[in-house]
Amino acid sequence: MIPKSEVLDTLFGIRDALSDMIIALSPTNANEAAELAQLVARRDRITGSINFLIAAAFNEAAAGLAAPFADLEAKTAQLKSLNQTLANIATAIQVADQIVQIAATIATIAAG
Amino acid sequence: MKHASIILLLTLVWACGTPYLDAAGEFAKATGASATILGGMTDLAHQLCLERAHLDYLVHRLEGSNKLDAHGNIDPRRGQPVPFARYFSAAQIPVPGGEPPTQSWETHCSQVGVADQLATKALQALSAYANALQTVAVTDFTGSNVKQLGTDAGALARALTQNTSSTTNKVAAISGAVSELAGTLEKQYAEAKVKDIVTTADPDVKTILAGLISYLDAVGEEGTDATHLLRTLLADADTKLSSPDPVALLTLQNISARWQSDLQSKLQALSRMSAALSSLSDAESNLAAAAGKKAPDLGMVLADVNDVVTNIQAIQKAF
Repeated sequence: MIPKSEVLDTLFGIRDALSDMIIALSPTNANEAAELAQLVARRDRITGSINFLIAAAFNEAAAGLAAPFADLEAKTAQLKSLNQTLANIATAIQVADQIVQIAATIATIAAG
Repeated sequence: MKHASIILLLTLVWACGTPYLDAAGEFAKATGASATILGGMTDLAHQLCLERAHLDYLVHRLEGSNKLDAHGNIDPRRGQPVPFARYFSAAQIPVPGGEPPTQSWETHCSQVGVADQLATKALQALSAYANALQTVAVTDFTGSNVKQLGTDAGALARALTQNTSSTTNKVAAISGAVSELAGTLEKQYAEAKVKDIVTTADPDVKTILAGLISYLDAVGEEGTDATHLLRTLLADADTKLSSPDPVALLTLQNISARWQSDLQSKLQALSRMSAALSSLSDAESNLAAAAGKKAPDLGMVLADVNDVVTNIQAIQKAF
C-alpha cells in the first residue's frame, strides 16, 4: 500500500531541492548557463508530474508500486545529498530525468 | 422557561424516536450543519489553482526563467521575459506521460473550474435529497428542479471527459450518480413512493459522497503543493536579497506572513469541508441502515423530523 500523498510528498521534496539548487547557483559561462536552463526544465517536468498525479486515479493497493516507490525514495536521497555546486548540475539533471521516469511508471501502475 | 419546555419536549421526541426517525434526523442535522461549510467549496479548487500558477510564475521570475520561446516553451536562455498574464496563458508546462504532453496553467485552471461547478451540482443534489427527506410529507414537491440538476451534471461531465488530462477525473465519475439521484427523486415523487426513496437513492448518494470526499482530497493535494511553492518562493526571495536592507527584509516578512495566513485559511476551510462530508457520510449510512428495518411509514416519520427541525431552527433564532 503506497498512499498517493506519500508519492506526492516525495515529489514536492524533489522539486524543492531542485529549486533550491537553481536559485543558489550563478553560472559563470555559457555552458553552465545552458546546464542551469536544463535543470529548470527538469524541475518544471517535476511540476508537470505533480499536476498529472494529482489528476490521476490512483490505486494505492496496486501490485508493483512498492519497487518504483523505493527507487523514487533512493533517487530523492541521492539528489538531496548533492551539494549545491555548478559541478553537480549534470548529475542533478540525470537524477531528475530518472525521477520523472519513475514518477510516470508509478502513475501508470497506480492507474491500472 | 418557555425555551426550557421546548428543549425538554424535543429531548423527549428524540428519546422516543424510532431508529428511522433518529437516523433521518441525524441526516437532516448533518446536512444543515454541513450546508454552510460546504458552500465554500464553490470555487476553492479554482482559487488554489490560480494561486499555484501565481507562485510558479513568481518562482520563475526570481530565477529569471520567466522567459518563453515562440512556442510557449520556457527557455531561460533564448526566450523573452513575460509578465504573469502571458505566462499563465502561454507557458507550456510539461506533463510527462500526459496527453497532450504539455498544458498551460490557464487550461489546467479552467478544467479545475469546471470540476468546481460539477462538485457544486453534486452538493445541490445532496441538498435536494436532504430537503426531500424533510419535506416529503408536508409539501407538494414535484422534483422538477432536481431533474434539471441531473441534466446540468451530465453536460458538465461531458465537458470534463473531453479533457483527458484534466485534474478532475474524480468529479466526472460522480456525475452519473448525480443524474441517477435526480432521476430517482423525481420518479419516486411522481409515483408517490416516498417510502422507497432512501433505499433507492442510497447507492447514488454514497457514490456522490465518496466522489466529493475524493475530490476534496485532490484539492487538498493542490493546497499542499501551493504550500511547497510558497515556501520555495519565500526562500528564493530571501536568497535574492543582496544586502541586509531592513525595509526589504520587513517587506518580505510582511508578505510572507500574509500569504501564509491566506493559504492556511484555505487549507483550514478544506479540512472543515472534509469533516462535514465525513459526517454526512456517516449520517447517510445510518439512514440507509434504518431504512432496511421495520419502521413507520417514512412520510409520517419525516413529517415528525420536519417538525423537530423547524422547532430547532426556531429555538436557534430565539437565542
